[in-house]
Amino acid sequence: MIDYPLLAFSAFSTIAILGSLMVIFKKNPVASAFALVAVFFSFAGLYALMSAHLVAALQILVYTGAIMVLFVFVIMLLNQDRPVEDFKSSSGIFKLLSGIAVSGFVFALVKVALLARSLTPRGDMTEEKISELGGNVKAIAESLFSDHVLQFEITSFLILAAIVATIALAKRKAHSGRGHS
Amino acid sequence: MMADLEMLRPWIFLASGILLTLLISVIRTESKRPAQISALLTVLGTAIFSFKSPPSEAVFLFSGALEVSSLSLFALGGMSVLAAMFILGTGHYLTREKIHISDYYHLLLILVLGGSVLVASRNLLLSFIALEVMSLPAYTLVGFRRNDSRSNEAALKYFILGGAMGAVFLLGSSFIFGATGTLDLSAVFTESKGGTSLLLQLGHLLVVLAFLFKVAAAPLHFWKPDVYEGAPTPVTGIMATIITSASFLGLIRLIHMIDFSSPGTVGYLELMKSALRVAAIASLVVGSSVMITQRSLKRMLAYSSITHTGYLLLGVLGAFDEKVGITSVLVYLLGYCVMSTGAFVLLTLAKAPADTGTELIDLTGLIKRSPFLTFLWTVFFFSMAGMPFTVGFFTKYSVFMASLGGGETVLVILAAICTVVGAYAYLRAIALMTMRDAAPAAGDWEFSPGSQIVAIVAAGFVLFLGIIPNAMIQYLKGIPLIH
Repeated sequence: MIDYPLLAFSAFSTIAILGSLMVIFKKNPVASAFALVAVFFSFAGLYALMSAHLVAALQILVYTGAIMVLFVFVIMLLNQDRPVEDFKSSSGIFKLLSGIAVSGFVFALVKVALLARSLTPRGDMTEEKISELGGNVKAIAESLFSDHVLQFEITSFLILAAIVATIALAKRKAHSGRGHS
Repeated sequence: MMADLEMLRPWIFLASGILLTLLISVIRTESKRPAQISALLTVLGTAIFSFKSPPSEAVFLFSGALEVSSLSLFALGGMSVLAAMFILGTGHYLTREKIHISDYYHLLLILVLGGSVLVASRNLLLSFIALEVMSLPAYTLVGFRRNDSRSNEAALKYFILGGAMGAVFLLGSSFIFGATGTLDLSAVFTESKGGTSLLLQLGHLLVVLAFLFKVAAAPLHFWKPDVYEGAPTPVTGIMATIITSASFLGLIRLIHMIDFSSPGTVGYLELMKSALRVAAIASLVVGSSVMITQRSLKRMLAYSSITHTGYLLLGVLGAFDEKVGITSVLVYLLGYCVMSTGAFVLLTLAKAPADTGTELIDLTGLIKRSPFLTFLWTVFFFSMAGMPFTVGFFTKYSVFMASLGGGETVLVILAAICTVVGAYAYLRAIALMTMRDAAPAAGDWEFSPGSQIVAIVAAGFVLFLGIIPNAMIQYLKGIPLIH
């Protein structure tokens, strides 16, 4: 008897971890970008395993579809087709300290994982409750516009700030290009 | 529902003001004045609304996500007043440096909104969004000095490090959710009464770590001097006051989402205390020892604010004792914000050449050139050093007492030594102003009525609260942290 969900979980997690390592270590930016696509896909798989089908679909649409296209577009505009060679090496003490910090963190994570033994879903949105509410989309929509309406509204200010910030920085370039302000 | 909306009046007013300011700046592009006036009226109105009717007891809105209480309204009102002082006092700097004024005010108002929601938030998701709403305008404002490469570098550095720390916060929140099944701070508090699992501790530590970065506690302070130096001076002042206050109050709220009074959390309490102790000691030692070696006035103030972070962490450590509470932190934040506002508004008056920034040498012989500026600088430097008869004395006194109440004797002795070391740097600056002749390279100081008024008001508060601190302390004692 094979535990299929566990098998799928292990496969997706392995791809995600290996992919994110490749994002960091690949010197060719296009290769990094495509490794990131693999990471995003495996995340979508993980969400689907948790029965969060809407999030999985959005993950593919937004991240793999829109954001990655922008990534590749920026790489194309920057015209960085050569691999980057001149990484500065950091000091030994910094390497030692960050190594200790990272390995301590990984150790704590492994300890937590060993203590937890099995994956138990948390939170009040169980699968039964979601199907009672009428599916993922309906459950998310109801929660978003009732319990989380404040978070939704504040997010709109975040987006407004991002738009104004982008325009302010872009306008600046146009001004200095014309040589006066 | 109507009653709920009435409780939200200050925030609704601020949000409407933000949109109005944006609209005005789009319509009236040729003039800078309307956006400034609209921003000023917005923050003043918000301050009036938030100070006018403090609720007798806290109300939780939006399924417990937002807390309308004396603390959150005091924070919103205080930040609005600080923003008003910066809008009034630094307009001349923006004109001189040719900064996009209307976008600047719009982003400043959004920053205040984010900061105030961060203090009022009782939900990790809302805290994260508010943190970003506060940080995103800050990243942009730091880079507003167009043609200065240091400003651009500072903005990029702040953005990348801030984004990474936002990710650390999210990771911590997801661990907390994994351990407790909720993002609601009150629910986590109830859950932690029986003790904390390792996963919860790990998540909580990560969340606290992200905020220690935001307040630039050593050893997470490396970004601060560079960002402070590169940013336009009014933005440096806004970061030192509004963002520091919001982050500190958010930090305290997030630390106390674990019930540290229950016997199940004793082991984790010791861990948390020693982490904060390390951060406090490192901030005090690094801040005060590096401060005395600086030549740039702005960098000196940056290291000075790292020292202040150390003192504030003493207050945070004292707040673990239920009887001491957060009063000492509030007293310190109030005093620190008043004197920093004054100092940074004065700093905008320096007409330093852009490639060097304002150096300590620009202060030399200031008493002969402008006795009045010298007097104001002396008041703020004395207060930062913690001299009696200034508010700086009482702020330090209150965090020392709070920390002694929590049993941190060694830490307080160390902090007292660091105060003496730091005082040397401030007294040296005062000596440069009063006892030296102006160096040939010393830069000029501009005259601007708005900044003079703001600096006089700030200096007045520094002296008034320093001589008669009782009213302030009594008022702040009535502002508790609600679990």
